[in-house]
Amino acid sequence: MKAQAMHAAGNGSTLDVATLVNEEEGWASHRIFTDPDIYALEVERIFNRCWLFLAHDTEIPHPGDYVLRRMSDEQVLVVRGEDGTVRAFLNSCRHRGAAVCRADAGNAKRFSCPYHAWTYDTQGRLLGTSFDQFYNRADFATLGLIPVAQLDTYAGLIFATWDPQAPSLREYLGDYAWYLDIFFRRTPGGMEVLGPPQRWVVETNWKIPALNFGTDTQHAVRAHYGPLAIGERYGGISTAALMQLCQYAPQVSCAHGHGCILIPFPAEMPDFCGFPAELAPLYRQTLQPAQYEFLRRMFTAVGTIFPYTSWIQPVLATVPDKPPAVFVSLRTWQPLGPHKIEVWSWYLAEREAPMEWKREARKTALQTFSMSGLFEEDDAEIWASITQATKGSIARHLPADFRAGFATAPLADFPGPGTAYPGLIPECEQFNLLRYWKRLMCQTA
Amino acid sequence: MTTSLSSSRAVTDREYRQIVEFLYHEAQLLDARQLDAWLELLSDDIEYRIVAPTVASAGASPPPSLVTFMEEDKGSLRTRVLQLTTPAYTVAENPPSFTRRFVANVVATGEGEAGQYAVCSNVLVYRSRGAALPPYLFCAQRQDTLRLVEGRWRIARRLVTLDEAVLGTRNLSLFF
Repeated sequence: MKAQAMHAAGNGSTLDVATLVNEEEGWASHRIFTDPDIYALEVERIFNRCWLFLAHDTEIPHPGDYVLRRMSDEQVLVVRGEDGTVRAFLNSCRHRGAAVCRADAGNAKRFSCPYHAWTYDTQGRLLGTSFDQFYNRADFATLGLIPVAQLDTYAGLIFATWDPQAPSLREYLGDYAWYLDIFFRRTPGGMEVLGPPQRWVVETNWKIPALNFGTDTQHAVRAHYGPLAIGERYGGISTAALMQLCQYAPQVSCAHGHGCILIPFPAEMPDFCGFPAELAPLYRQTLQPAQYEFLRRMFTAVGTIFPYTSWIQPVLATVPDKPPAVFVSLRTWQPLGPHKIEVWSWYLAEREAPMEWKREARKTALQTFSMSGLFEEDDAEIWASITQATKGSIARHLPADFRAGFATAPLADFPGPGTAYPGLIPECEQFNLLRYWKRLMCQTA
Repeated sequence: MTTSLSSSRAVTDREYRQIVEFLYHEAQLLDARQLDAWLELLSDDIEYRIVAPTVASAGASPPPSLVTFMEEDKGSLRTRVLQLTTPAYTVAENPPSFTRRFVANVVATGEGEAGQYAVCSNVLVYRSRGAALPPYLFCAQRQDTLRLVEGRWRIARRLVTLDEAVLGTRNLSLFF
């Protein structure tokens, strides 16, 4: 394979990648977003090493519940066993490789391959073939579905990795887990998904939206000028006021490429604006004081869990005569090649939230951040145009510029972990994602 | 959309023709991007939803969930139309897409009170945006409740069911 040949040729590929992200000057070559050889190396060094988000716990609540998801360039069957434990397996029969499961979700006690009926249980164990007399049954123990190397759950989020040497999920998330708590683990009952995910294809490189959500704020003034102007008419925050907030709000980088921004409300907006009042005491009892303080005044928060899962919690006014609404959306920018992703978008709410509030939250989410979202439909157009405009022979050698606020000094004194920078216009936190990307890409082992 | 047989009644040839012409007229407005005029074809209490199926085993019980892509009322549709028709507000539709809708397989019955109809139709929507990105053909079924009030037809309810579990195009900046 070409990537391996490059690597074998005296670390040529490693040096090549190192020159494509310039950490002294704050730029990255467009090649990292467009080159098929870079992508092939990403599969080995990023996707096959990192912890990847698979599903939310509440998508597969009962024994036998399963979903089909992707991990790197593979399809995996994520199933809750009869014993209640969630496991994930390569969706490929050990006989001749057919997909054992072809439904995207459901409930089953057994998975029987449609080719020769090799049958597996919900723990991936081979129960039998159609012609057991031609096999040594003692071998069956070694012929189960191939499991992922490691699987673990944090705050209801199920992650897995193909790398048996990867540090634990908790170590991989590190300090970032503190921020995930604020959005995904803030009441005793935890969050639940509001239905199966939207899935749609955007012709762009996964790093473009991963950087956008992790975290590009500048684009709000132009790409999202429309919905923000409309929101302002309907009682939402003005773009000018938003930009004021962005001057001081923090952007946060944590180890392993994770990052987020946390925009507080202007002083005149009430605590927990958009949230149902009955949840405040639950937040207080579940969160640490500093986490609770962030949530109490939270206007908009956005982040990316490296490599390609992001989340957003905005407060938005979209129609007149209705108070602004808030929601949590989680999404994966599933790579399907250097120029294509499949977006998976989930909407979540606290289990304890009232039904009516959940309905309204989901409606606002669908209207703003979804395939038809008033914010996202414009983002997708722009991301596709970046890929369009930078994959050619001339453009691919030009730099993507992350120099704004490059030398911003971190805040000395910040109530949350990680490294926080003052203001959202600097591009330093985004660039930190690429710094980590580069480190992984240059690690040969 | 099930109603008891006793409240279903066959439509006359004249009613059927009016319904089909109404749907063609609606498609023309959407293809001509006359979205404000299109809004006038929707009742004030419109419930407008777009859903997609999920891939599930045949005969799965309970039946598989649908994924919602839009869930709108008149107010939220006005917001969408405002964004899509204001050049400074939209990137997805500036430059505007070219679309062509084909409405077919119209099945209509009278339902409930006089002047109310259950109408099912298939729709193909072709969308292109210049040479750079491939054109896309959406396929869907619409289940509508239409009302005829004082000689004017209006859509009171629409459920659009797309025919894909994974949509192969970058956004849904249009209506079905």
